[in-house]
Amino acid sequence: MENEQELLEQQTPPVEEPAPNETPAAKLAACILETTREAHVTPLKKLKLHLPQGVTPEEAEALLTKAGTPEADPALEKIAFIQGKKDLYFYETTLMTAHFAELDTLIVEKDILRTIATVTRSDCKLYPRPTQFSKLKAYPFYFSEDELEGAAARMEKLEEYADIGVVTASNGGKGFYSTQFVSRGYAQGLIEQVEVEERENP
Amino acid sequence: MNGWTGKMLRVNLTTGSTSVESSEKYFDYIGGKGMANRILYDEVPAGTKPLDEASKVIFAAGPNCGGSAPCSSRTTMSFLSTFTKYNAICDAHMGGDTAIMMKYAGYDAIIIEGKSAKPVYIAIKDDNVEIKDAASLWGKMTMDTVAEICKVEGAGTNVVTIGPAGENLIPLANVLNNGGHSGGGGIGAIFGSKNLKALAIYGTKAVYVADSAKILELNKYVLEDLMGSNNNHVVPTVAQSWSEYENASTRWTGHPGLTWGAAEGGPIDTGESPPGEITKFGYRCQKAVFDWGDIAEKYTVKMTGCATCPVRCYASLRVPELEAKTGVKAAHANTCLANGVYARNNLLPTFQDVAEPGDGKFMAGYLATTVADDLGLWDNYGELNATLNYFVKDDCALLKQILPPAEFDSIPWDKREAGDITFLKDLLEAVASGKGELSHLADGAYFVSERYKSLLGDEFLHSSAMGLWGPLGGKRHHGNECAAQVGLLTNIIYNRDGMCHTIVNITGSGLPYDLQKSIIEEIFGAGALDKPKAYTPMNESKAKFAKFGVIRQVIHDSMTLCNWVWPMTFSPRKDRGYKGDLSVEAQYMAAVTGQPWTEESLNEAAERVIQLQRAMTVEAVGSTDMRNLHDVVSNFIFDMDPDKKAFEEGTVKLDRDDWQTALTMFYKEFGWDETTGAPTRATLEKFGLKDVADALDAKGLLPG
Repeated sequence: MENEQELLEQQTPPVEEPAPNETPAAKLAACILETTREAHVTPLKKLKLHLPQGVTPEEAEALLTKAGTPEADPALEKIAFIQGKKDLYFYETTLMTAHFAELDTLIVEKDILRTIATVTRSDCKLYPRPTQFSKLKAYPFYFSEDELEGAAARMEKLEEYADIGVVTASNGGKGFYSTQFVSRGYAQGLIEQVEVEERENP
Repeated sequence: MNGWTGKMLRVNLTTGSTSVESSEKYFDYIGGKGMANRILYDEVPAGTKPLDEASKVIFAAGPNCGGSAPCSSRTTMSFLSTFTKYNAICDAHMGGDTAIMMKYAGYDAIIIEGKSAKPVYIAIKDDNVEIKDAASLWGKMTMDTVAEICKVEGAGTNVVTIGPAGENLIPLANVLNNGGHSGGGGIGAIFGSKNLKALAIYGTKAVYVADSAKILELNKYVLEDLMGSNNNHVVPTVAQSWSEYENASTRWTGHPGLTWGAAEGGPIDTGESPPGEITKFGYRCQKAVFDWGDIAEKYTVKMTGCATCPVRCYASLRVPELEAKTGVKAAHANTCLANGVYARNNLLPTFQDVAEPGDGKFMAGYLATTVADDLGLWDNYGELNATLNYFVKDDCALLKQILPPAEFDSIPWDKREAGDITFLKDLLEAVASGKGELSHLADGAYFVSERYKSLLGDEFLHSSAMGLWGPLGGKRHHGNECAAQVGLLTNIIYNRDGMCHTIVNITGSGLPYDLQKSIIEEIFGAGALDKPKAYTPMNESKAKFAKFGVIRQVIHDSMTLCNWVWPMTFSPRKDRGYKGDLSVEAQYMAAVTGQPWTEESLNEAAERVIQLQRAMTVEAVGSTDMRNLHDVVSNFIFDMDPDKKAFEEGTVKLDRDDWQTALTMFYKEFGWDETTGAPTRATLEKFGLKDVADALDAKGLLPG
């Protein structure tokens, strides 16, 4: 068991832990690191409610809004943030990617339409592939079928989501697509591929 | 000697004699597939039929097997296909521990020849080789046979066995080692024809390597920097905090909240498994959920797999409710398409639930997979299921025409009507019995078509329902749906389904298309890799890419690395720009053997193997006209999606004229005659195969 622990420690990327008596910046970095390890971003508002001992809300805001800039405190060198609609969200960059931080920010802000549209546009641009409902039902989103169907209906009526549509495969599996990156016909072919054909030819 | 043992074992079942011979004369063919193919060429005359006494089976592993490289214990078996047109040379590849046990016992290859007068099994313990009576084992299922032989030979013995299907000479019969790792191609029928029930191997010797420090360095490099999950998928299926990308189609399925639900001591969360953290490697592939769907999580005991494999692509399940209700064994492990194949389509239109509402389809699939494996009945990448479905569709219209009324009535159709999942057990047992007309549906699609030609016409072999790459009878396996012409070209090389994963490991890696494209084009040139379902006409870059796919597969099957994971074209690491390293195989070969292998010399040796295999296929076909007699692909590939044209977005259909161009370019890459696709004398001699060229020449089988 001891050997296993040693091996684990050798494999885990080293992340420096600040000592308890270190600077306010180091204490803030430690807080953010802890939340990052749990695979979550740290909202500024929440952080200000649970500040480390000896750090004032003003100090926290002043230090954290410089994160990721040349003026950042050295202790916050590996801290970055996402500007959400409702708040700033911080994460430690050696453990979390900007991509995941963005997804977690969308989830924390509970804006299902923006979440679906953001993920869909990204999937259609990058791979390209529709965003399957099954993906949005799973970790880290956990949306229900009803939520997804409701979102699809609402998006149809909103100009900012005019590019988002839904395609259905022959097995009934559904996916969102964005006409910014794929045509409906292409999306239809792709949903059949990921829902049906890949399973027939694994 | 390093890497190779330098010895091969010959077992003659006619005389009961065994002998040990040098394997050194085959080192130019690397080992594994290459060695086995050359032995088959040297020892089995062209024109031999697979079940003839003169037919042989060769088990072989390469120098890398036993040297500890990740995924280096797959077994290659070479023999004559029982189920495809021409009965030409065919390989089967099997996971498990057979290859490594064979090497530990001291052999690079085992040649099985002749025919025993009575049922026997071969027991190998290092230098001690015995042919033992198997009368009490004949008729037993595969899993019981493993258990019985292990009682006699000792726990830890690797047992390769046939089931009733092989005994009954069913052309789609396989062998399985230790219950779940199967090798197809009809090898089970050849075992049966020789009255050979099983091969039991236990080895205790060392496999020596030239540079153990270098091998350990390579192992660390591969595990930390290069290898992703099963099929070297380098992107997880769902977003993880360390990942830049996620792609729901990959086999990196492990993630927080997904468990091995039936693990001893309680569920184990698969969690996050970032690149570099090799102690978490084994949690990356929760294969049960990939193969069976979410319902399998709660029945997952663990992931298992082959010796030296960190990936673990075999899901070990235990479904006690099924055993309680049907008597079919609760515990089983298999991988990929074999899992659940018989519950697809329409063999059973509805499914009765077993343990909970809605679980009937899963239970039916699990039952049928377990039964088929116990019978030693091979699904041929879904071909047997497709054939059975073809005959039961439209209220069994075709089946009623081929079965005598009494045989048709003996099938428990009332169970099918009721959705009773044990119907599949009854059906598969009847198919494997070798009795009646129904069994002939497991002759392989080509022979089924020949037998019932007046009923089936040409449509059967060319239909999308059968999904064959060509009327030769090989199932399409990562064909045109995988990188367009590139995938399909890797299929036509073989006399069965291609089993080439080099290309699909790339297209299925999970990386964004532009990233894949930039890495692949850097190697093979512009236009090598099309977007999914947005294909372009054939070009030379694609021909080079397809050749790479085949050659790497041959390298893996010959030196012994798993082509279901290798090559390391991509990496999961952002700090490498997601680029892999294609030099690693040659580095292993050099470290293991102590010889100066390079990527170039390894490619050359692998191409020698393919040139030999192509020449053997020309001999089997009896003509140089490979383009029109062998490399013909099924019509559905050109006729699918009738509302779309080839090269239009949203379809994988190909164009007939473009396909002929693809063949010409592919032939050119291999140095074959561009009209016929047959190897030329110059090409064969370039690869040291003058004797093969002379033999073809003597038969009038050299082009021009």
